[in-house]
Amino acid sequence: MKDDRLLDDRDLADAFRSVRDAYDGTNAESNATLQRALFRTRTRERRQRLTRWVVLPIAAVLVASTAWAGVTGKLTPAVHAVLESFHAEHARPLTEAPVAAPASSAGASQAPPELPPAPIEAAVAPAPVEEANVAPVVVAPAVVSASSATPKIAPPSSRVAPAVDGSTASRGTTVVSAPPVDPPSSKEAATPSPPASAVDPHAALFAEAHRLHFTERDPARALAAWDRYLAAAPNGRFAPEARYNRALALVRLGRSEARTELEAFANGTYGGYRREEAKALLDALARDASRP
Amino acid sequence: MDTAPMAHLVAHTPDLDRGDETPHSLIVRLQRADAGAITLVYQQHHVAVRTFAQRLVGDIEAAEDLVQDVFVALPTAIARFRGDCALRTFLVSIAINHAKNHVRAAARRRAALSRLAREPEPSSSDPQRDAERRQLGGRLMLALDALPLEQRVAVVLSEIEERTSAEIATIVGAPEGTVRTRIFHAKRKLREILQSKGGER
Repeated sequence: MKDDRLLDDRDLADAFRSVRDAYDGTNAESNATLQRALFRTRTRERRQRLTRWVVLPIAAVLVASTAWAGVTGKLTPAVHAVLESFHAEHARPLTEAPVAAPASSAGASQAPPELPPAPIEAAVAPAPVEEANVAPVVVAPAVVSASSATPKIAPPSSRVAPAVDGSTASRGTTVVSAPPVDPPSSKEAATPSPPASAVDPHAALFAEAHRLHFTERDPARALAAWDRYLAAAPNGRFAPEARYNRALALVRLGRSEARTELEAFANGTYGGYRREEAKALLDALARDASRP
Repeated sequence: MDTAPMAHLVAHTPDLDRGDETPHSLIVRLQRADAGAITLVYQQHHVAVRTFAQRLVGDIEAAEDLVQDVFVALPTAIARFRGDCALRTFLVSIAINHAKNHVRAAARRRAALSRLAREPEPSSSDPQRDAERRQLGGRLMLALDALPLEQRVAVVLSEIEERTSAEIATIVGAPEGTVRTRIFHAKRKLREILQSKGGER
């Protein structure tokens, strides 16, 4: 037993010696190893410098500005504005033809705070839902081509025309008073109401005009409200929509300049935006006027 | 393995390795990851670090990767260096802290080669003696692969590097008694493994 143990120890010592002799620390690749180590060190230093001088200051500025916004009460509107543009980005494919998406997304990135509180209006007054829902989507009518806007506008014209045909009384007030519109889908109704008025006074003016027009159904006050909005934001994001709605208010009031306003849309002054609807309305007005 | 890598080198003041000649300016330059300083330290100590790495890992390529890791980690690790031990000892302790994955990779490779029975054949003037040594060394490395890393490090430093228990205690940051216990258990396991492998042959 003792001999076995001694034999084992000698074997073990031999094994250790053989390993000691086998590995003496020489390697032809030692210079390459140094170069690789230096390269990795340089890369890591560069990354650390980038973090120290770029990423950390940006993070610090973000944290500080967020804290400042939180203290001054500006954080909530800012968060809402971001969420609103996020929802607008996601809602766009549901309401708009795919061709028009790039143009409207470009517009959305330009001025997201001016989105009107359309879904609230949609829930209250089903009739103008289409106008309200389209408004936040078509943000840059001048950019949208006629062909891209056509698929979106085609359905409303087919809805407006029967209402016009059915109205045989006084020509102004009945033309667009009750265009039959499908009830808003659950997705449309579920869209969160954007607190645009808290972000932008122009959006508040738009919302007020929209409310007077489609909820209160008071064309005279709505006309004044649209004028106020257009005076405040003549080139605003929703100025074309406001002009179209103003034309509708003029029609309801039986004012002759309604035709001039609608002709601007029908002639393509705003590209394809509301073109077909304006044409349909003009036709209806003409038919109504030709009746004895 | 020590849970606080190299922390022992800050607090521990062993009698060994006193009078380290590493100049403060070199340490400062290393902390700044100065390429010249790293090159200088590499040229002074790479053989010792590589020798330990090769003996610990038992694989030339894996050992080279470990050496590279040591010198890449040096600018960060040097902040913990207080001059309580020689810079070479400090580098070995860095190697131990980075050895785990390399040991594992080398063990996997060794096991695969062992199964396929095609170990690399180095050239020599005495093929028979070399073959015996190589066989013995190979068996020992396979046996070392079966040990926990703490025991492996202890036995490599003690039996192959021929360091004293006090030196090993400094390097691994454990009391000398613990080191001796690790060496004892490691050698006992190695004996068992080599005996059983010998019986299999």
